[in-house]
Amino acid sequence: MSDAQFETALQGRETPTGLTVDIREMTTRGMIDLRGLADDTAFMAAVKQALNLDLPTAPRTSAAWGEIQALWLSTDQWLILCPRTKTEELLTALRQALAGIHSLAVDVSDMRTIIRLEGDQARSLLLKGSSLDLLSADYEAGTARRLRFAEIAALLHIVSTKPDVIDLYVFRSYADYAWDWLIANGRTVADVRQFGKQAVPAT
Amino acid sequence: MKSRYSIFSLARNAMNYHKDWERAWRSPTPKSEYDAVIVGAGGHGLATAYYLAKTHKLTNIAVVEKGWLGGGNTGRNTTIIRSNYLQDPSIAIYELARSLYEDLSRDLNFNVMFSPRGVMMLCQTEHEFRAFKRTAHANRLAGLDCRMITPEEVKKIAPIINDDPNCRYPILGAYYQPRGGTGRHDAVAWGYARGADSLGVDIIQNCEVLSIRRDGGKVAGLETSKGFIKTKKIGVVTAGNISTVVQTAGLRLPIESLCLQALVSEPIKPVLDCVVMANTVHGYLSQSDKGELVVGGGTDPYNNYSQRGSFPALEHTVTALVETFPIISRLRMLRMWGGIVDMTGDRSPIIGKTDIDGLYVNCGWGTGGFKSIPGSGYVFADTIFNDRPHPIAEPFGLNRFIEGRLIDESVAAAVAH
Amino acid sequence: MLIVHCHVCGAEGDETDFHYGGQAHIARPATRDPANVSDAEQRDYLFMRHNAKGLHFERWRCDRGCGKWFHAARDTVTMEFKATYGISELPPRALMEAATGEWAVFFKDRLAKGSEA
Ligand SMILES: Cc1cc2nc3c(=O)[nH]c(=O)nc-3n(C[C@H](O)[C@H](O)[C@H](O)COP(=O)(O)OP(=O)(O)OC[C@H]3O[C@@H](n4cnc5c(N)ncnc54)[C@H](O)[C@@H]3O)c2cc1C
Ligand SMILES: [Zn+2]
Repeated sequence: MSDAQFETALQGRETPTGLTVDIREMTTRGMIDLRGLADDTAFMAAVKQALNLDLPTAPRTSAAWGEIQALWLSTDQWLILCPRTKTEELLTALRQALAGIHSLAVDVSDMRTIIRLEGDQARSLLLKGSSLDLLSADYEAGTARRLRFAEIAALLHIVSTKPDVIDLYVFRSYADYAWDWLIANGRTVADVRQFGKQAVPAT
Repeated sequence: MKSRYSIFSLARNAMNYHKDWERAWRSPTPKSEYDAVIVGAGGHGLATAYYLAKTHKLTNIAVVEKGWLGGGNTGRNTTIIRSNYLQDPSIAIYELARSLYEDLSRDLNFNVMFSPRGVMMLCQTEHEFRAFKRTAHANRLAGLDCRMITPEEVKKIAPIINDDPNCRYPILGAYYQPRGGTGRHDAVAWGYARGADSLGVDIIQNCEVLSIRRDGGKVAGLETSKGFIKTKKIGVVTAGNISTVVQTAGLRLPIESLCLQALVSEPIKPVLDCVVMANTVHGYLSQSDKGELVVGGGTDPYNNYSQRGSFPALEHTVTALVETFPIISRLRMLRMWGGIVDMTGDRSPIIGKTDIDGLYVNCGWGTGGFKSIPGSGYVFADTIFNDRPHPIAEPFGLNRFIEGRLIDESVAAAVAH
Repeated sequence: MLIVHCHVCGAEGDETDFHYGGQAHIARPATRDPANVSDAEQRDYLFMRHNAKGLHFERWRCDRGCGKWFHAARDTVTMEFKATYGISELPPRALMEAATGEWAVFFKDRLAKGSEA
């Protein structure tokens, strides 16, 4: 038997040129679905011991320590990000720390595909597919939220701003669709206005 | 008795520059008492009154309507007429109605523009194909003239359809009822109103029923915005407003009111001469005699009494249809509107007696009761007159929800009206 | 278009970000007393709905947000949200008092008891 080969969902796709935003697939990231009760101090302490970070409890925020990040997904759910090669090690550490505590930690690295958008037009492009007011101050660096994007379920993580670096997470089966959507809509400057506000001007 | 509409009356009136046409119905003031009162002058209420007067010779009756006749769902619907439902009781009542439609214009002496142009329900997934095949077998056993057709036949009947086998929901075939079609919604209401009026029925518009007055276990009459009307028999036929009316008599119903929307395009030359329903993608399309494309889809998700729907539901419908009929993508839509539809748990209507003596209900037609107006009026009139369910109405009684004897049409009726 | 506010995570969004869950406060009779559920009770549980015109109480899910269910009080004529409240809670007292028709009947005992849903 030959070894299973890891393939990302968008592996065969060429990096598009001529878009107003740079897009590429993030292929080396591991993801752990972590569930537990935020008001359970034993749970929070155990996670801190394993990850070296305090899980964010404010809605739609994230936290980071070194290579490890935690995105708030719900009042009892976080997505833990780490280098793909470290996933197993981290998962083992988490499970050990959480032994006996009402919780769940699962490797979901292959569940989602991550598309990184970079550039000043990233928000205007995403606005075309969502009803969020992405131009408001609510969406600063570190914001993470699930949303309905171009009719599909997605997760948005604003990694940094000026210029914007935004990670868009979609379920793997939607990867082609989301990629094609971004290419189709990213060709020209997406000058969308929402709630009476002016989109970020093209420079 | 009214003078008949005919080519001769048309010619005669043309001589007088059409100044002498008599009114199609009177505007009577309510009497203090009637033998029976129908609440709601939609298609079902008016048809009930017509058959009470015509078939059962009960003419001292009234129809009370809070707005104008036909202004409810009857005047807002997309007029699909078909009878190819899954369950036997449904087939019986919808086919009775459809066959009455065939001859309705002559019976009412009013052109209801019944147009049996054919109705096809597309199969766009394997699952849907099998589900319709099952319905097709059930319908053929019941003697309905319906059949499965191939993608080639679909394309022949509706050339504007997208037959790309590689699209997301390719056409795998369709379930076709050649004698299904459309009618003119207003004309059905007007025809029944004129027919009932000429038999002596009082149609009282702008008269809202405020409550049902009870005398112990039986009804005593109706409090209306035009005063009290005494009667021993009340038939409530108020569609999405049924709960509010019967609650005043202490009757609860397994009904929820939702908004169903529809829209029409600018008129264009004839491009589609049958009705096409695409249940998988959630939309259906036909072309009116004026040339407008008539577009509809599924209900808005939440309870609603406002006759105004939400934009995403329309967007969803239009997206679906553009995928199925790419050539309509640049059409401008002219109007959109909503009606409050009365939904039951099994998507079948409720017709019959209640626990209160003299109180009858006919409701739950939801998104699909235009097609059934003649049949429903016919059996409901019989039920009220004889104070027992007409055999075709019997399975649709309220007790089916206690007995678990549901008439499940959720597949046949979801988007398909 | 409804703009919905999530009671749990505070997200505000279009109705398409949320999922409508039907009438609130329907208790399954078989949970309470499995041995004695009459056909009428079972019918009420499965099919009878208050179908209020005006103030209505219902369930919503923050479908594209935190994924949690919550309760909302909404007017079915004006579409206005009057309040949102927790999935295991009763509505604010003032709204229970403002309820009409079958909801007024439903809340009567609860107002007297002041108990949990
Ligand atoms: C957008 C849309 C599309 C549809 N498409 C189709 C279709 O293609 N095919 C099909 O078969 N069906 C269709 N339907 C369903 C169909 O329209 C209805 O099932 C049918 O018209 C119901 O008729 P009705 O007489 O019961 O109700 P309505 O026509 O609504 O009549 C009820 C009447 O009761 C009156 N009323 C209410 N409260 C009171 C009161 N308190 N006192 C006095 N009067 C009162 C109302 O004003 C109204 O006139 C559609 C419905 C909608 C909304
Ligand atoms: Zn939420």
